[in-house]
Amino acid sequence: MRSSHATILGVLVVTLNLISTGASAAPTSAEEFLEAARAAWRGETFQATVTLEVTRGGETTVYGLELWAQGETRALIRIFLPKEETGSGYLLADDELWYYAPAIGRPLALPPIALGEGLFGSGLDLDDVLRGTSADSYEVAFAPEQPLEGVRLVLTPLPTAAIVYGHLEILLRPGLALQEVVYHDQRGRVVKTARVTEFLELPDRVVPRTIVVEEASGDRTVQTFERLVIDDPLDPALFTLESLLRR
Amino acid sequence: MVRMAWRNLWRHKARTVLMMGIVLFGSLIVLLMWGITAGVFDSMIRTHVDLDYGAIKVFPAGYRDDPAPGRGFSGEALDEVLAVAARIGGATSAPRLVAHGLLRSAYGATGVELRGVDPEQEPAVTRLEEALVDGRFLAGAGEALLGVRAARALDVKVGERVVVLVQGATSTESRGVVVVGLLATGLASLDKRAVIISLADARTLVGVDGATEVALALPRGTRANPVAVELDAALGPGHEVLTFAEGNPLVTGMIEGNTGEMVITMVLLALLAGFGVANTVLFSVIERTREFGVMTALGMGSRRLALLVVMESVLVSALGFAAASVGGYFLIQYLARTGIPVGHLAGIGSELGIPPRIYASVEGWYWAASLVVVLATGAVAAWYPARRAAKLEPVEAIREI
Repeated sequence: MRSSHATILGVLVVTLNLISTGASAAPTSAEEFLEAARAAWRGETFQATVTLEVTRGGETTVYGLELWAQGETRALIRIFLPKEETGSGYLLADDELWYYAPAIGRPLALPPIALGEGLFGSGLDLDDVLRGTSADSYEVAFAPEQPLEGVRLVLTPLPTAAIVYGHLEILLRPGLALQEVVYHDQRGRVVKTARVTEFLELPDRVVPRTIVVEEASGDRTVQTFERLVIDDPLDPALFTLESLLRR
Repeated sequence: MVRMAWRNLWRHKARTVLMMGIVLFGSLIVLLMWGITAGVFDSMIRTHVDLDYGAIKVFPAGYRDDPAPGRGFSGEALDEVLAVAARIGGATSAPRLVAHGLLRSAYGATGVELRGVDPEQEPAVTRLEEALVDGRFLAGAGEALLGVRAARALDVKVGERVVVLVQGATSTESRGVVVVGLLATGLASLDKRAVIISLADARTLVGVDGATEVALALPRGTRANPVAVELDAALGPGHEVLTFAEGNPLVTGMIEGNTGEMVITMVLLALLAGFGVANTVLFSVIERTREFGVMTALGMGSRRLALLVVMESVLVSALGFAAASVGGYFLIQYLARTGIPVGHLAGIGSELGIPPRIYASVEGWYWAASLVVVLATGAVAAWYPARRAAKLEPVEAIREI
């Protein structure tokens, strides 16, 4: 059973990558499509209320999180669901990662490597696509079969890239919003699929509202943004230990 | 006296064979237990030394208290240690850089010890190449060796890429490495919780230019302690030189503890056999009351009579032990060749380096110890019957039917 730490840290990583900056110039090559899709999900600040429904081994747990993020290196998560987790949270401040739970009564420093662990613990592995999908890590090509609408790309990791998958198939819908990522292992089997099932149309951009990750093992994670505020200035004091300890 | 005792023994063949049988089976159990236990420990130490630790390791002083890669040997210090090690006759050495991190595949991640080794020097210290069950040994950068259990848990095959994540000098570092070989060493520390990559890759990931330890191998049969003392003196202060026994107090403690248990078991089995012998000798004395009475009447002293009884018991014990030794020797030789599979206990055993098949071992000292215990037991067991025989009154004894 994967830990709730890993699950929630997964949300943090995904969120840091879902921050949007709006539209980009019309791409032509596969690399440009990928780069444009990545750029379209990046921004400066992000506030959200997130519901996370995690099904592991047939058991489902619902987490409720308040989330603030600035850039890729500062984030604060406060947990309000389930009841026993209420008041606990995580703080990412540059190279430092902290965890706090009222029962412990003091913040615990986690090794930054735990952030990486969250990626695979949660099933929300969009980091591979959104943070690590630069042309430095992959060979990017158009899929042989293209959908009627949007673009399908195939990403094959370079031999020494820190990518565990054999290849990824990415479906971008018109407007370059990420619609679906299919992760294949190195023997061609599907490991998991991350699908955006619901979008939130904001005045200047489109962001995912619900992301469903289905793993080959049958485990499932559904992440829903209940509330989203993008690019509103955030108080730097939010990303401090004092803020993490505040209830 | 010995000839008389010997003759007496074979006057009642059935009784003698019965006593011999008691001693034989007790001794056989003890010898087999010693043989198998010594074989377990031999195999365990050999596995650790040959496949993992080496005979001796050199660490920077204080490193083991806080084993962070940054506290290892610098490149310059490492060269010095390797140069000194090269002057030790017959020894071969190899540097290693050990760090802890995560190993990731498409199907999961596991905490591992990341071990950077020099692909050319490491085979001079450990026989990891012989433990390969698939693929080949490391040839250079971008490659990894993985234990079969980790590979199974992460669903990884030879030729597939895995990702190693470690805490670097300033941030978390990661890179993909292709698994070129799978190891089955019988050690959980290697089969389940380690990934072996090139020293160059490990240095790049961790951000250091040296190593955290230097492992040394010695020619078979060389005692590690004197070499460790010599190496320690040659290196001077600032280093910690540890033999396998010194570096693994858990394993050596377990061996010592088990040896103590074996001694207790041997004594208990000897007591059991002793009671059997005492019982038979006592009835033999009772049965031979008239005979002893005649012997006393003919002038045999009570002390010599007692000695005769003790001698008979010791002789029969020696015969039983000799038979057990012959049987035990062949049985242990057979088990030393074919081994005994540990079955379902293999998983637990691998945590301590006990291989999945145990090969018995023949060692002279426990054979000698067992002989002493058996003969002493034979003598002590005969004490009460001998005392009874010595106290017989000749006339009354002759009258007794």
